[in-house]
Amino acid sequence: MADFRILKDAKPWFKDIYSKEEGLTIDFEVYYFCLMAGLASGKKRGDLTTTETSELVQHFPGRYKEKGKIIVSLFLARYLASLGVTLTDKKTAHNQISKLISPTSPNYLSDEGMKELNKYAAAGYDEIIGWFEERPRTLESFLRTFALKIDSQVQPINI
Amino acid sequence: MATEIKLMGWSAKGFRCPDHQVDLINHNNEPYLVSLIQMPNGTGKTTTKDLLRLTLSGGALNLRAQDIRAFAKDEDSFVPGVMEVRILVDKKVATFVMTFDYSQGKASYKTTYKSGQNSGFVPPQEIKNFLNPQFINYFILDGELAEKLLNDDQAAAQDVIDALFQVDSLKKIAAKVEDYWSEHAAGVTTKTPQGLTRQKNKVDEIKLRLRMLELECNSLDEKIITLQADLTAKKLEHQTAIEKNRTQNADLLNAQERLHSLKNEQIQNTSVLLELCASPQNLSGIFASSILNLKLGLDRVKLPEAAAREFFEELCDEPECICGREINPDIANTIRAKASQYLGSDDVSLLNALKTSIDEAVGNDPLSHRLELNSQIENLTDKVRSVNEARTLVEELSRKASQVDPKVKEAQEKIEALTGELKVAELNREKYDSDESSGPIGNIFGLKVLREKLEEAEHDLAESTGTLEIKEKTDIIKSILNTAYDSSTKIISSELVEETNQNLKQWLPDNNLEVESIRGHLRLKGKEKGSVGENLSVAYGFLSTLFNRTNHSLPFIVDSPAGALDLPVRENIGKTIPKLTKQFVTFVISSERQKFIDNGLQKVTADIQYVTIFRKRISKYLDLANSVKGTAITEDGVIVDDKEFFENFDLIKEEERG
Repeated sequence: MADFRILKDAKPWFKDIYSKEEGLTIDFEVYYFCLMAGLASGKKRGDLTTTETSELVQHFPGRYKEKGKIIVSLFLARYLASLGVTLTDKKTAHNQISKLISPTSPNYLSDEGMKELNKYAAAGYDEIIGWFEERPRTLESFLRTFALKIDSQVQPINI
Repeated sequence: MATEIKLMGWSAKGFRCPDHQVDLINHNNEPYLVSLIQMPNGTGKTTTKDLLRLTLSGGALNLRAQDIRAFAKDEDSFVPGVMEVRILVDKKVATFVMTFDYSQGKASYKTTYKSGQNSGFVPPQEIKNFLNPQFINYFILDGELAEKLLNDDQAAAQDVIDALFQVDSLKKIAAKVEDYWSEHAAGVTTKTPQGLTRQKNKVDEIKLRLRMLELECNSLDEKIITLQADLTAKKLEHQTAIEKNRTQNADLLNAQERLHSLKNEQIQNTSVLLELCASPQNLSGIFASSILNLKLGLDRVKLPEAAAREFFEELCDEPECICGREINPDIANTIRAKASQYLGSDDVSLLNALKTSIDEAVGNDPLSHRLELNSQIENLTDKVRSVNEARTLVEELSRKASQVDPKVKEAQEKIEALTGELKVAELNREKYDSDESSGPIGNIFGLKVLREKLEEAEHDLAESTGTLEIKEKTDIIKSILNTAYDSSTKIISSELVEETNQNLKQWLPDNNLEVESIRGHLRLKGKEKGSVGENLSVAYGFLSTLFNRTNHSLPFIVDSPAGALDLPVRENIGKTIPKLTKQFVTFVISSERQKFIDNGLQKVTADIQYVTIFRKRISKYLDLANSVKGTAITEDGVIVDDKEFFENFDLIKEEERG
């Protein structure tokens, strides 16, 4: 089973709003924001090496435990749309979906699915640093800017 | 294993101090709890303390000839200096004899323990870690020790922890491992020696720069921690000054209260926004719609199907279909092939679970979620604005308050200065996290980048020298050792802080002294700096906790323990010391007696020895000493072991004569 993997560069960028009493508390939160930015842009990085990424967890932790299935659904929608697969083509949709999901995995994704998800998260980090003039110093300023940017930058997902 | 060391006594002959012999054993045939050695200025207190350190550490073997000769009674002396020190190691006697040959400028040792006499400095195995030049200074102390333990610029507290818990062995082993690989790589010859030299030089250059930057960075980290603590202390001081004058500063206090409450509300609003952002459907209408469309699309094409793959696979094994028709091998193969187009039952369950989650989270109105998020962003933006306004008001009122009250002004100015200094330090610190990796090594500041470059360069070098496997192994060992060192010092330090504070609370209940942290040096809680007395109390408390923590019992041998203390502090320290150690031997001058001995030590113990040592040429005291039983007179010194003599010895006149 594959892990969520985060770009090593990402954590230092978030350091001022990470691990503080009023900040992000787990590495996965940094990953989540990067992933959302990647899924919004529809961009993916190429194959990631283990030296440029760090292993996180295999499951959706903390507050994301309840949201794992929605995150996976968004990923499936973005991925299928990127392939031009529409849900009128049952056979192709079925083939693609069965490649990406794994009911026995704690994150619901097959190794291939996780590999693709991590590529979106890596590209999302590139997006985020482009949205901010400098590293965020407070969680409130990060969240407000992030929430405004993601809504204005999100690309259509035609599924 | 627990070890107890006690000092039994010593004799010194042929040194700058008067020849003398001191026996610290009481009538129970055990060392006194407290031995006071009174020596007027100029008699050689410091020399005696130094000789004790050298004899018990083997340190004289590292002295230069002129340093050894400086201990002689006079320049032309060729009579050797001999210092003999007797200690008890778990109740067994060990004797160390140190001889200074002034003609050759050399020192030699003899050690006697259990099986007999050995040439050289050979301390018993169980106390080797204490009897060495580094550690000896932590139980044969001088007045500077407290300063060293509490000084920002020194890492003495860390050093003593390293030495006592032997965690520095981890660093030493890591260095040895590194040396081993370096030597191995250096010894290898290749067909291209110039290329190899270039590679070696590159490794050395990166190592040197990395070491330098790590030192800079560590010192900056220390500075930032100190500044943060100072700032907190100053803010507390500022607030206390404001609260002292509640009526005059009522507006300011109200404004502060409002700011505090608004900040709390802002934190709550931020937390709500974070929770909303953690659901993808809230972030964008496009997200919510696409998630819903996925579900609707799957429904439309009937994915997952009602039947799972397993149904058809099982059907192939049946003789006839559920419609009653026969299933021959051809039909079975066709069904089996088509079965792969169906999802497995687990996949079916998962897809159904996804669809249920979508129903629950997104519902039928995907665009409504973002509206809720927008409204929360607005709430938070309003709150941030209110906090900023409240902060401006507090700053304005603080400025006004500082114009009236000089204490508030002073604290405010200090806060502004510290804030500025902290900002600069934090900005400077950032360059060590830089990812910039281009340009020559000398232009790179990012520690992570340099570590990666070093790893790369060492890998290249190892490859060239055919030592790659050894290199990889040494890297693993070094990484384990360094992690072990960091983790163990962190754990030990935090436990020691807790125990030292518990002990300080028990020993000095009225002083409200607390150690905040040990990061190289001891740092007091809520204080930039302690008074001399406070520092000394904390230093004794820390060392005592440290020795107890490791189950070792060591004597405290202290030069001038009360000299720099005010009278009330002397009393306190005097009462405290016997609680901290099983043996306290101290060199004092007569002016230190007041309060330290009478109101301090004597109030908590009667097991005190009173020894006075002075130069023989002072006839007034010689006559008096002669009348005391047990007085010993050497060629140039007089040693009187008598309480009454000790208490009546008049330093002032002595110094005038001496």
